[in-house]
Amino acid sequence: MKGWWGRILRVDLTNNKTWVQEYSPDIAQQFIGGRGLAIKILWDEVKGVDPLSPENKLIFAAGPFNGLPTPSGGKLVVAAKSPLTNGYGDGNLGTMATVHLRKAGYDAIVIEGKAKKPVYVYVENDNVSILSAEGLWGLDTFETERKLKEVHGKNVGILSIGPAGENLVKFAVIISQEGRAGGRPGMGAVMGSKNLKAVVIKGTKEIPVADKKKLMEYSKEAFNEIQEKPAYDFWIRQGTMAAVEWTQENGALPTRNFSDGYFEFARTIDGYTLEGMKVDRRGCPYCNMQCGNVVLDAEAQESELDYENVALLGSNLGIANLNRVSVLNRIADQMGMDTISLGGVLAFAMEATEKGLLDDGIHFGDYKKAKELALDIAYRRGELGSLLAEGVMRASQKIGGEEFAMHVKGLEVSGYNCFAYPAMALAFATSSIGAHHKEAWVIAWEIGTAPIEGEQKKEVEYKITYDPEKAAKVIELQRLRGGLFEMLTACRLPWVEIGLTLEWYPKFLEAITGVKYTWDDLYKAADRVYALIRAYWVREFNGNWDRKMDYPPKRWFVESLKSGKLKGSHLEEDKYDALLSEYYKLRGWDERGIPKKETLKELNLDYVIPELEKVTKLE
Amino acid sequence: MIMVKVRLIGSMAHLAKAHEVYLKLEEPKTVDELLRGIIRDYDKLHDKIIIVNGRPVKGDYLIKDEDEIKVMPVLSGG
Repeated sequence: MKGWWGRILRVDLTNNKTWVQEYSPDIAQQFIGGRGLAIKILWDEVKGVDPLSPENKLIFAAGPFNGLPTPSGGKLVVAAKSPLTNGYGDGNLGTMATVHLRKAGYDAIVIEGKAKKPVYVYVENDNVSILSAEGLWGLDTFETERKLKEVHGKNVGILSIGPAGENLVKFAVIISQEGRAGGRPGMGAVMGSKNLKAVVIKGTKEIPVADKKKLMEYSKEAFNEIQEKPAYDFWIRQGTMAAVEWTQENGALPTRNFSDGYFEFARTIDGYTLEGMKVDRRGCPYCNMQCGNVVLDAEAQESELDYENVALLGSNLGIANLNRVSVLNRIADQMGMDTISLGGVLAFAMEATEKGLLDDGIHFGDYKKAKELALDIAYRRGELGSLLAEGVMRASQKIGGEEFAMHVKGLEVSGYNCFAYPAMALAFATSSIGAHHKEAWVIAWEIGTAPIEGEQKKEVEYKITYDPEKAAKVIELQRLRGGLFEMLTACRLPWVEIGLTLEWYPKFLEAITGVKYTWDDLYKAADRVYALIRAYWVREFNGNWDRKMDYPPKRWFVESLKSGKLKGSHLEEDKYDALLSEYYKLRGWDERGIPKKETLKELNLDYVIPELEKVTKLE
Repeated sequence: MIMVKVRLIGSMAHLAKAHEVYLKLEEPKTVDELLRGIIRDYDKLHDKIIIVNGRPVKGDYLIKDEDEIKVMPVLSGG
């Protein structure tokens, strides 16, 4: 095979054993890599286990784009059965670890079992060691990475967890390079449950490529195309932080636990304020549109900001000071906690306090207490810290407040308030991991007439409607963003933000692997991954599955936007339900949201049928 | 005489070097024609959202007196 190594590094921490597993070209072509490879492994090997038990497997999966000069192709997927949702969990982060992983001669690392004492895994090409991490346990992720670099040198890729992962906080993430985070649905807790503090990788091999000359040509052209686009310069100024102004303008900025879409102090936390504070810019490997904006926070330490961090830890908490939001963000990164879910649980606690569900709670805008509480969560200190470490869904089941618990399937909602946006609500509700935006950020299309490249150039007038077209649009974006980009594994931003032509992606894939994919092939691969992920959820829930699992948070139906031009807007349940049916119909899933037999067969997933039939009846 | 107000968001403001523009038009123009004169590299932009008086329009919309035009980029989300 070219482009793929066809090799997965296996590590069993219980038995202190490592080996290399080879996989077939057929699997590589059908699942491409990243999320595709991850769900295939989880489906085959991780069945009915407790997510925090040694039997769960933690997967670091790269794709054919990684380690090679592809546009923003420096991502790595981390996946496992999620302790937060009990379903499929993954996330991606930009890291040198993906470059080194591929250069070490592997497409993925799968870690199973549990070490008796804290360890880290060191990979240097074919040499793999499981080493003691007793001196690292308890350190934050920044300090862990610094210490490991003292031992192994700077030219390595490092993935680590902080105290949150060690203490099994349900939304602990895996961190790299002081601020790159991945695995929102508790991948850091899975790593902690295995007593695994870090993975350090050094690779020096040459990745086999089908047509190196063509790859280099494409690379030069595509990187130039990005830099010549008119949107490039402003992107360099603000990166994703431009979204604060944008969501505020459109009534979608999460404000005080998503009770509103407009924050009266948005200007104090937006991209223009960021510009005045910026001291550095960081990015992922092979990216020429670096979006990690580094500022000095209120404690004079560096903090890397993105829109999601600021929306969830700023306006959603009622905190109107970017220096302070930056402190919360940096603490989350150091502790190894997801900033979105941290913002979600803190906001939930603030509203619960307001509504009298918590006695000694926390109020909106209380930065000092938010900071203390963030640390209490990471260390599971005190009653409130331990409660919130379980995430919004479990906290609301325990103390009440389910009507303002902002999550889908247990994963806290990311930075877009959807009172006025049915398609975006559908995107959150049908995302593969719970309420995350990366797979189908359909809100811009929903607002404007401007067609997004990749659709059939069809123009739909703006309306807060439930047009069946919206279900089709969500699927189209899921195929591209949640499917193609997550399998490659590459960042979607050059395409969406800057306008890099989509046609580059199959061209790069062919130059790297020698396999010619048509758009139909790529869409089919994406649909296969979505169907398999859905089948995984259904199997892990023992067939106890119905369409209510694909509902957005109740708040968007029963309350409405409190201010701004869209004041009074809210979702309508019967119309949402009809839109969901349309989504299922287009996906070839039944009315419960379970793939039909015929659909599974068409997607070459025949082997899924007998397994699913053990837990439920299939149409 | 047609009086219009144009509000520019994010990268559109960067390219226009202004967040708000007030214009007098001697003769009717489409919104594309108007924005081409304000936003640098307008025709090279891959995507944009144009809202007039709160409603989205296409580039061939003919501007009327006292229209409020808002132009926004398409973002990817976090």
